Amino acid sequence: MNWRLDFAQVLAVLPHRYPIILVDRVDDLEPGVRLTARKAVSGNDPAFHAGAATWPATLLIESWCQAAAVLATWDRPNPDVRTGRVPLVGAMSGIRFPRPVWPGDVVEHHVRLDRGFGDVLIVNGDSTVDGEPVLAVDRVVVALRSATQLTGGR
Amino acid sequence: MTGWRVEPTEPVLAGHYPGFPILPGVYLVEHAHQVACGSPPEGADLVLTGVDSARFLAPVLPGDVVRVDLAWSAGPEGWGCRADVHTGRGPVASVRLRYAGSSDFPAPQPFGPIPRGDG
Repeated sequence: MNWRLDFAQVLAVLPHRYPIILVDRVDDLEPGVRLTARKAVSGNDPAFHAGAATWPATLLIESWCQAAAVLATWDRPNPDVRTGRVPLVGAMSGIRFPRPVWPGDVVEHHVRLDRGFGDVLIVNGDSTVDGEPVLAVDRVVVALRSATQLTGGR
Repeated sequence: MTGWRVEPTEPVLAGHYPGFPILPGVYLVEHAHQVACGSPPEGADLVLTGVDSARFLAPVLPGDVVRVDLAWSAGPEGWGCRADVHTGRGPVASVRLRYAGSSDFPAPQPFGPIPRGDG
């Protein structure tokens, strides 16, 4: 069965919060296979307050990776990272930005699960605005790690 | 080289993550990009067209000072920039950025007068 998630349901899956929660909605989630999600980019975004003319490509990557994290963890959600595991991007390759993203654009992310073994998942996909490519992702490795693993108890 | 001290008050840390501040990996990519743009090869006017690869090796925590070592290389697909990112505790990321000259990769300008379409 496929799923559609509203923003509240996205928040129940992802530990990310303002100002870095960059998925607004999941339109179609096929568990363990693929996902389509969207992010509406507003001129009210802090990046534009800081003077950017277009939405920083690195935030576009982060938004796509958060959509990937929904696909990776929606069946084992952990909205509090202090007590469980957190999805982290370990590596990425083959990222391209065919054209910029402007305020007013609605970005549609497409994420496909390539391979998954336990706590490590490999995903790929792309993003479009009104059908035009704005991001291509050849490979991203998402790993689920516990907080204490990351900080060494620091 | 001057470093970037990740202040505990850095706004993004409030949401990444509540109760467990850790700098998002893409912020290291963005920082490397900003440093790269501050010292472009031959004064070139560059557009970021991609990230060939990025590996995140260790978490960056509040109070860490982030430093970047850059190496530019010219290739068939424009300029490549290898960025080795580290803190006082060692390497934290290895990033390969891809740039094109702004004349080779002109930004589309869809905003302005709208053609009437009745001509």
